[in-house]
Amino acid sequence: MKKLFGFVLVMALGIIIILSLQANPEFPAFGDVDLSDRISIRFIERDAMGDILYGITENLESGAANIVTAIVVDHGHLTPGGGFPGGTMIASSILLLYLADDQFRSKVKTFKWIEGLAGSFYVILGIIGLLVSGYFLKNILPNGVIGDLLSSGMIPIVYMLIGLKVGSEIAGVIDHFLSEEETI
Amino acid sequence: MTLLDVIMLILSLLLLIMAFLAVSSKHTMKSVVFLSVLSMLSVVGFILLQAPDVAITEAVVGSGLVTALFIFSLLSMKPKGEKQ
Amino acid sequence: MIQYAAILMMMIGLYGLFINRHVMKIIVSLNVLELGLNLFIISIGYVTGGIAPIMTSTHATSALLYVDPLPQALVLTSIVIGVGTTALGLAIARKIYETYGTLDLERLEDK
Repeated sequence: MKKLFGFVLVMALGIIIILSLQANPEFPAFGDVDLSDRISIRFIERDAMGDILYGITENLESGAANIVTAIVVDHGHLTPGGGFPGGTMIASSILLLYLADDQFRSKVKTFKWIEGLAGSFYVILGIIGLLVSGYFLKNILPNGVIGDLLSSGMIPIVYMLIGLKVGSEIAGVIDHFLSEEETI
Repeated sequence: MTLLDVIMLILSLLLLIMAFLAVSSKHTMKSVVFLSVLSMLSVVGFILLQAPDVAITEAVVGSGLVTALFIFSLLSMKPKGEKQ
Repeated sequence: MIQYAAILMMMIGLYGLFINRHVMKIIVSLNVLELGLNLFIISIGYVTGGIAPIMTSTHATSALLYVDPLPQALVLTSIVIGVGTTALGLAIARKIYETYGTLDLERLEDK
């Protein structure tokens, strides 16, 4: 009896939310978002005139399969990926090492050092941007040709720092979980 | 009704059925397995909505980290035999 | 169609939070709630007939054919935070089992 009452109540709340979203004139219908004032038109116009140079990314995979995570973190501004998925891939590779061997223990102190250093470098980069000109995290390296590895300013360096920080943090959590003994 | 609309309709029906089974089943291990299947179906949904970054992140997180944490936690609390 | 399914999935996760007595099932319902929320945020920025927002050398010449990239950047952080919340919940559940010997919430209130 309690289950039926709870189910009816929750479905009524859901239907109220759906109806109030449809009656709101500012909420767009599915697939009709108006993007004309958000994406910069000037960039697209310069591109149609042929003003922006494009390069080609070559030799994207090389070496053993362990380099996949480094490539996903490093080419974040060219292909899908970036700091967050690359960091979780690093943690997932350490989980596989735990599953394969029963006596494997990783060095937790190294993880804490890497996490602290990566976070501090991120803040130091931001403050350098603040001191040189203007505002926090200003872009101080030159933008190059779109499609090269060393292009688009400071973004590859920021992605590498974020990847190291997220990866070592989740790997520390996994290490604390999987190296406990059984209770009783 | 193009092909994309039909695939989205079938996908949303499967999502709702799997979510209801994951929340209200009698055995704890079945709920964890249904959660893993739900995560995989939502990755297909992210690809159909043209978002490759989010699909990669959800695939790595949902299959590797969350499922492994749940199963290790459940196995290390076994001896009293907890079921609802 | 996916917008309605995402809102109903959030409501099913909320129903699971109310109705369950076992601590593990509460954490599973929390994960279902977060999955529905991420689907809903991304389905807001969908443009019919749009392509993924990555610029290549064979690209569209009009800005209105790209899918909105702003909600995708917000959902990336939210997924990783969901992992952290789940890990914290599981650590607390294990501590409850060591202290009280049971994981049933109704028998826990009597102690």
